[in-house]
Amino acid sequence: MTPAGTLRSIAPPAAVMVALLALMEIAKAAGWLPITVPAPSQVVAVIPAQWDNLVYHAGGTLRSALLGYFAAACAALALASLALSREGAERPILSLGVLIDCVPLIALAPIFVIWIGQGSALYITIAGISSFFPLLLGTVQGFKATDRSTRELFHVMAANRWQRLRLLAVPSSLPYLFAAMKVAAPLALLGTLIAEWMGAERGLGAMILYALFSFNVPVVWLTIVTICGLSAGAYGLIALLEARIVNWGPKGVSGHG
Amino acid sequence: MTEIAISGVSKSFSLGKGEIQALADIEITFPSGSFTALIGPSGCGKSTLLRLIADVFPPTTGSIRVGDHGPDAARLSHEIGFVFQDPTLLPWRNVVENVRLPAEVAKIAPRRDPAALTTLVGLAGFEEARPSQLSGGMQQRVAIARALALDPKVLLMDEPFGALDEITRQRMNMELLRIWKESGATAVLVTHSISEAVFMADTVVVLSANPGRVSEVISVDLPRPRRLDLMRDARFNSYENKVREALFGDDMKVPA
Amino acid sequence: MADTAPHQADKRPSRYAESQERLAALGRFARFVAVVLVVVVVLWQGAISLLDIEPFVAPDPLSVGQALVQETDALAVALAYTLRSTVGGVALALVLAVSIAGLFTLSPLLSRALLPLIIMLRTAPILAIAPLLILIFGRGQTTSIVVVVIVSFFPIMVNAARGFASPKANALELMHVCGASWWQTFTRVRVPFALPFIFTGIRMASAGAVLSAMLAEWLSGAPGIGTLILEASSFRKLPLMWAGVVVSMITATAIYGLTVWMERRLSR
Repeated sequence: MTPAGTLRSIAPPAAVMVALLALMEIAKAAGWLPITVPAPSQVVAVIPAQWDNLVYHAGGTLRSALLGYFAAACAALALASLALSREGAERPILSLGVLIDCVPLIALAPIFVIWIGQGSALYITIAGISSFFPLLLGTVQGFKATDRSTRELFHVMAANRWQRLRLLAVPSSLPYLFAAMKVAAPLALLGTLIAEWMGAERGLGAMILYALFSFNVPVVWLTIVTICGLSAGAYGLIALLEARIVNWGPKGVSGHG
Repeated sequence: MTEIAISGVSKSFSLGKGEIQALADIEITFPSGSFTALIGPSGCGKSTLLRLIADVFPPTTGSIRVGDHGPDAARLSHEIGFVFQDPTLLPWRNVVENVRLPAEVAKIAPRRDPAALTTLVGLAGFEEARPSQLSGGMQQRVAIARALALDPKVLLMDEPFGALDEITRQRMNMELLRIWKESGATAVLVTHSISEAVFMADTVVVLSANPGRVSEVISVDLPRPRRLDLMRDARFNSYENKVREALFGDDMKVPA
Repeated sequence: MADTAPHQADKRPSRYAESQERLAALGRFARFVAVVLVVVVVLWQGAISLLDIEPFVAPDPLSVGQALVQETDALAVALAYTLRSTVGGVALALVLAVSIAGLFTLSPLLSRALLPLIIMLRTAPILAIAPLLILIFGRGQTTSIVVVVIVSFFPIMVNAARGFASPKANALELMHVCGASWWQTFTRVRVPFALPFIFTGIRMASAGAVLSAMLAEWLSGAPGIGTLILEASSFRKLPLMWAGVVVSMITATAIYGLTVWMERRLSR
């Protein structure tokens, strides 16, 4: 995209954001907003006092989310290779994934509290469960994302298994893997947060609850903005990596120009 | 010398509980260095026949010989070049890298220089371009260059220009003839177009459907090199009519 | 290429075969669920008897069954509360999301300005703002519904917008040439094209909706199944807790299955 094109696509949403923030500020000054909705400036004002606190709690959440995310990615990779290597294994494994995905985490959380107690093992587990299914689905879809003529081409070229994997399956799965990684990152954060709400000393979930119980409205908002920021940051980082690695245009195997 | 001999070949596919017979009693020989066109209605098994020669799957009965050995040996020694209907390029590789792919897989030095092949198919200056930056015709040129990378003795083409517009198609056909002549390969072209079949081939094999059988073999005795003005020639038209009659049979007779 | 090759022939089955295929798929799914249930119960009981697991770690299926029977009323009341929040929230989100996505077709500028923000928010962990909503809306059912609405809104909205933009230029030009009004084009072309997308959105939303409702209840203390599970856990009524977990899992799976079924019915 040209710089002008980028500007044209970024300017309208940015303008809306700025307008919304300004509107909130004015509405607060005019006294139209309830006490539970602070002006953006009030949220910004508590940052200096809360900074150390925020960094401490965000560090805990980030660590649990990252570990859970990696555990989920490893499990997804292992199960996906099992699903694809055994005839007929794909359907039951994916069905199991769907089942895990639609079980409400909040119902599982108390059970895991009993089993593994509170602490980072719990947060990591819940973060992993929360981000598992999109990763599994993306990996399975990705490794199946080759069309018939390309597979025939590799057959006619007498490629061996390893060559098929390295030259065909891995590159063509990358767009799917990145898409799954982008979806799963915020889910890992959310899972951590929910687990922390079950009771934690450290973590943004704990910080929100402290602020909520002491009715410290700007801090509740600040914490939530931080979580959204972390999630957007994780998403953006993966998107950036994707743009660097998957740089071959929008479609998979290209068709007719 | 690479002659392709097909004798007593039939091919069935299992489909659900039943079975469909794609080809029955195919008996043809493609002489070494010849250009043969396979033409027939949809479902006559012409693509299947091409894939049998390429050892994509084995015949149900009968045998196929490519040169001195079976299709599997020919494939494993990288003697077969295949052009699909879709360009089937790897989108993450640029033009030269796509052309180099067969050599990379075979772990041998390219038998023909990828850059020179790119020039041969008229893509000089596009070596570094990604497939998504090329038009459909250009992508198909890359696919042809790739098929030639290991200097194959057999060149199999499955409606390679089917998705292109008529003008591009004519131009590509002319170039394909030039490239084929220069390569000396035994070429088999699957096509839906009567004039394309006559223009390109030494022999037009007409297939009929359900199951696919050879209904007629027509030798096209027209001089080479062939140029577009050949299409105005009365002999060209009479060959076209022969193929048309073989395809449509009684429907071609003028009603009384 | 319309030539004989097996995979292409079997890609276009007849309508009848297709409905048979769906029926078979449904049957397979039901069998799968049944098998999973039986296996889970057997493994569960087996593990408890073999490993001598304390009831506090996991009660045996029988006592959970007893809890299910004894506490049917409490479970039913709590489940009804949660379902009201879930269904009400998704319905409200559907109306909001489809209307707004429809408005976007009127103004490209509006869509250029807002759609990126909406897509951005769609990827954010929206559920994280549940505490804020409790702060704003108090501790009643309104909060649960609002949480469900906000969480469900984004997937439905993004899909609906995609759906309304999905008709081919030809179809829109045809309507233009016929002199159709915006409303006629919208109802005759955009809505039919968008329906499968909207149902995909509903399916995506439904998976999160039950979770959102339960979470909101739990944080706000509203009397739904989420609160029931946590209270049972804090009062150490473990069979009841497990009964609640089982009920909410089955509910969530059933709702998800229902939306998948609706989506499949519509998108063919």
